Amino acid sequence: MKDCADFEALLASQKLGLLESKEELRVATHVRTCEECTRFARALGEALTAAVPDEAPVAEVWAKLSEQLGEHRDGAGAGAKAVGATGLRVTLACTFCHATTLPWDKVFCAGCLAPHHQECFEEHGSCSAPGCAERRFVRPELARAEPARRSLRGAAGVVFVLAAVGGAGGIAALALSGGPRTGAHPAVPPGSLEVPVGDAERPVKPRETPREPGAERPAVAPTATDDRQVFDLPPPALDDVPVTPSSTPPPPPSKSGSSREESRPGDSPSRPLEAPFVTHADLRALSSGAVQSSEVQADPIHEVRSVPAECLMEVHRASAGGGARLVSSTRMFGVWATNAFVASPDRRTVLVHGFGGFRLLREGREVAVRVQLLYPYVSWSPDSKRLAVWLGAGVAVVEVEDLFRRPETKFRITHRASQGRIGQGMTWAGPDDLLVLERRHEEGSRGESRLVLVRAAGSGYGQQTTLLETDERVEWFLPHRRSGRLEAVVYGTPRSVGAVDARAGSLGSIAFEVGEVRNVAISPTGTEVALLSNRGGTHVALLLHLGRSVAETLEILGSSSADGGLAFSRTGTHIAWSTLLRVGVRSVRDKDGGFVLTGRDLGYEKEIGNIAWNEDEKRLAVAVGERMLVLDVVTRRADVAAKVGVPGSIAAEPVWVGEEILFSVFTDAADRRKR
Amino acid sequence: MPAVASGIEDKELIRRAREGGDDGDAAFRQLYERYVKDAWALLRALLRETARTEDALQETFFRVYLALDRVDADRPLRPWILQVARNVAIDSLRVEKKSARLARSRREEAGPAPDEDAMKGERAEAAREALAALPHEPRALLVARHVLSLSLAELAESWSVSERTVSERLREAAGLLAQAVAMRLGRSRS
Repeated sequence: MKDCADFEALLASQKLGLLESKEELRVATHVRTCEECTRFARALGEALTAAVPDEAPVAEVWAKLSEQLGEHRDGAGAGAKAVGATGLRVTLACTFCHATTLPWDKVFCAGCLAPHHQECFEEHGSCSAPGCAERRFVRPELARAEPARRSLRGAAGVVFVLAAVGGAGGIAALALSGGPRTGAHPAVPPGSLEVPVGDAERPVKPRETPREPGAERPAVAPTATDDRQVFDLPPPALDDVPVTPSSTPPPPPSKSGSSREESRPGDSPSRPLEAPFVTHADLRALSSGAVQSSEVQADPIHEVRSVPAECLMEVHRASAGGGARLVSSTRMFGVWATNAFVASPDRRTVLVHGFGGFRLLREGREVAVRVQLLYPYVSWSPDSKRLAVWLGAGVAVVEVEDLFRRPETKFRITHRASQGRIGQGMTWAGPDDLLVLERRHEEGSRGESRLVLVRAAGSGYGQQTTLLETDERVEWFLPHRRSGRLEAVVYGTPRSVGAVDARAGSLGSIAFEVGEVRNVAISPTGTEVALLSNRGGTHVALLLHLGRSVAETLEILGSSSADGGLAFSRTGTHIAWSTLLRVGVRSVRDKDGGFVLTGRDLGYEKEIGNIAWNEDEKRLAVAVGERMLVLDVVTRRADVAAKVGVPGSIAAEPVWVGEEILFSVFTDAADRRKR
Repeated sequence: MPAVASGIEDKELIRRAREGGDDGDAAFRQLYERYVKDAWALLRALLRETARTEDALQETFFRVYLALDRVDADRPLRPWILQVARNVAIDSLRVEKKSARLARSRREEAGPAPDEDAMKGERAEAAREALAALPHEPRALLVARHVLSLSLAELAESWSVSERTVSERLREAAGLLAQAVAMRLGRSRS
C-alpha cells in the first residue's frame, strides 16, 4: 500500500498513547499489511527514543547548587532559614514586557539604564522607558564569558540587592512572594552588575551609522571599546517586516457590488439545487492515483506538498421523505479532518478540508487545493464568493472562482498574527471583514488574547481594528451579525463569558463560572447563547439570555457526556441540543415547552450525533448511528432519511438544502470498496 | 546531616525544607534527588547542550528552592518542577533564538552543507534530527509524555491547561513529529 501519509500522524499519536480504540484498530490493521508504515513507525520510535538523555545529570550540579544556596543564605543574613522564611527576592523586570530578566539575557538602555531583555529592546526599536528614545543599550560583561554558568551566581548576587528607586525610566520589579510588580524606577544597584554601565545623568546620544546599501548588517554591532559594550540597534531584519501588503501585490479593487450581495439572516438559499450537486468521482481513480491538481503557492514558510490519502469523505444527499444517494467521494488529505465538511452559505459549494489541504466541489466541478494548514481554519464569506484560509502565519483570502479557474492562484496573506501571537480562530464578520483571534503562545504566558477585525477586501485592505485585548485566554468567540454586518462578538475565557461591540466597546462580562465550554452557539437574534459545558465534571447544557442577564440550565447531562451539537432555529425561537445519548428541543423563552428524547425514543438505540434545523423550524435532522433521521419536533416522530452503513461515521453538521439534507461520512477507502 | 527516610512524601519534605537548617537542607536534597532526572531529561531535550543543561538544571532547582514557601504542598510537585524547568529552558532559548536566526540566515546564504544529501538516507540520524527540529513546546510535550511518562492530568497541571487542550496539543505535536520524520526520511508523499 503506497498511500500511507494519513497514518503518519496516527502512528505518532499511537506512540504517545493518544489513540482511541477505533483509531488503534485502524492503525493496527494498516500497519500489519504495510511495510513502509512499519518502517516509519520504527523511525518514529527512534526519534522519540532520541529524546532520552544518554547521560545522567552530573553530581557537580548539586555541588554548585549547594554553593549557590549557601551564598544565597549568607546574603539573607546569618541564621536565616530557607528562602521561604524571608520570601523576599528582588529582580529586575524588563521595561518592555515586564517579565523578569535573567543575567544572561539582560541589557540596559545606554541612556537611562532601564533594564530590558535584549530581544525586547530590539523588538521595540529603542528604549521603552517613557520619555527615553535611546537606541543603544549596554550589556553586562558576564554575557561575554560563560554566560549561563556565571549567570547563576550573578542571579544570586542580584537577588538580595534592593533596587534603588529613582533614575530615568526603568522598572525594577519587586517580586515578593509572587506579589505584583511595582512601577518603581531603576534600579542598577552598585555591585550587582559585573561591569560599570552608563551614567543616567549623562545619556549617550544615538549615533547615526551610515551603511552602504546591501552591506551585511550585523544584528548587534559593538560600537564602543571602553569599559562597557554599547550596541547600536540594527534596522529591522527583513523577516521582521510585515509582509502583508508590501510583499504581495495589492488585491484587485473591491468588487463592491458583488461582495455586498450576501444573504441576510433568514433568507432562503439563493437558489435551489437543480443540477446534480457535484459529480460522483470515480472511487478507483481516487484511491489509486494522485488527485489531479496544481499546487497552490502558499505562504513561503509553509511547505506545499501533495498528500495522498486512504480515507474518503463522502457527501450524501438524503431526502426528508426517505432515500439517499452518494453524490461525491473525496479523498482526504489528512487524518485530522474527520469533521471538516463545510457548505458555503449559498449551499452551492462544499469544502472538505484536512490537515494537508482542502477540496472544493461545485456543480460538477472539483478542485483540490494543497496547502499546509497547521490550523484547519477555513471560513466562507457571507456571499460565498471568497474563502479565508488560515495558513499558520496568517490569513489568506482567495476568490473561490479563481481557485476553480486557476488552482495555482497564489494566496495573499491579508493579515499576520502579531509578534509572539498565533492565530487561534478566524471567521468572516461582514462582507469585507474578518474577525481573527490571536493568542500569545509562549510557554508560561497565560494565553493573553486579542480579537482583531481585519479588512479583507475593498478600501482599507489590510487595516485592522482591535476589538478586544485581554490578559485572559479567549477560548472561543462568536460574531453576532445583523443584516450581514457585525454588531457584537461574544467570547469565552476559562473564567467567564464576555461581549464586545463592533466598535470595540466592551459590553463587559455576561456570565461567570460557566465551566469548560465544549460547544457554543449564538442565536440569530444575538440575544441568546447556548453552551455545552463541563462544570466540575458534570456536563450541562446552558442557555444564557444576554438581554436579560439570565442563565438557565437546559439539561444536566451527567458526568460522561461527550461533546454534542447545538443549533438555534432560523428565527432563534427554539434551541436544540444533542449529546451522545439524547437530543433536546425547547423554546428559548418557555422553559416548560420542550422535550428530551433518547436514541431509543427515536427508534435506534445508538449514538446521537450532529443536528440541524430545517428552515421551517419544525423539523430537525439528527444523525443517529449510521442513520440520518428527520425528527418532527411537533409530533416528536422520527423518520429515516438515509442509512449509510457505517455506524458512527457521519461527520460534521448536516445542512438542509430545501427538502434535502446534505451530510458527510468519513470512511476508510478500503472499507468503502468492500462495501 | 540527619538522614531522611526514603519514601517520604513530597509534602513532608517541602515542610521540612521550609523549616531550614540541616534537616531542611537534607529534605531539599532529597527532593532534588527525586526529581533531578526528570528535570534533566526535559532540559536536555530542550537545550541539547550539556553545559547549558547543567546550568539550567542548577537554575531550576534554585528557583524551586526560592519558591518553596509559595508552592502548594497539597498539589503534585513533579508537574510543577517540570514547569519551572521548562520556564528556565525557555529563558535560555530566548537568548539563543536571536543568534540562531543569524546563524541560520548565514547558512542559507552559504548554501546547503556538502554532506546534507549524504545524511538524508541515514534513518537513525534523521530520526534524531526530526525531534530536534521541532519547536520547543511540542518537543517538551513529547518528551514529557514519552520519556517522562506524564499522564494527561499531570501534563495539564504542568502546562496550566485543561486535559482536553493538552491532548489536542499532544496530537498536534505528534503530527509535527510525523511530518519531520517523514521529511527527513525522504518519504514520498506524492
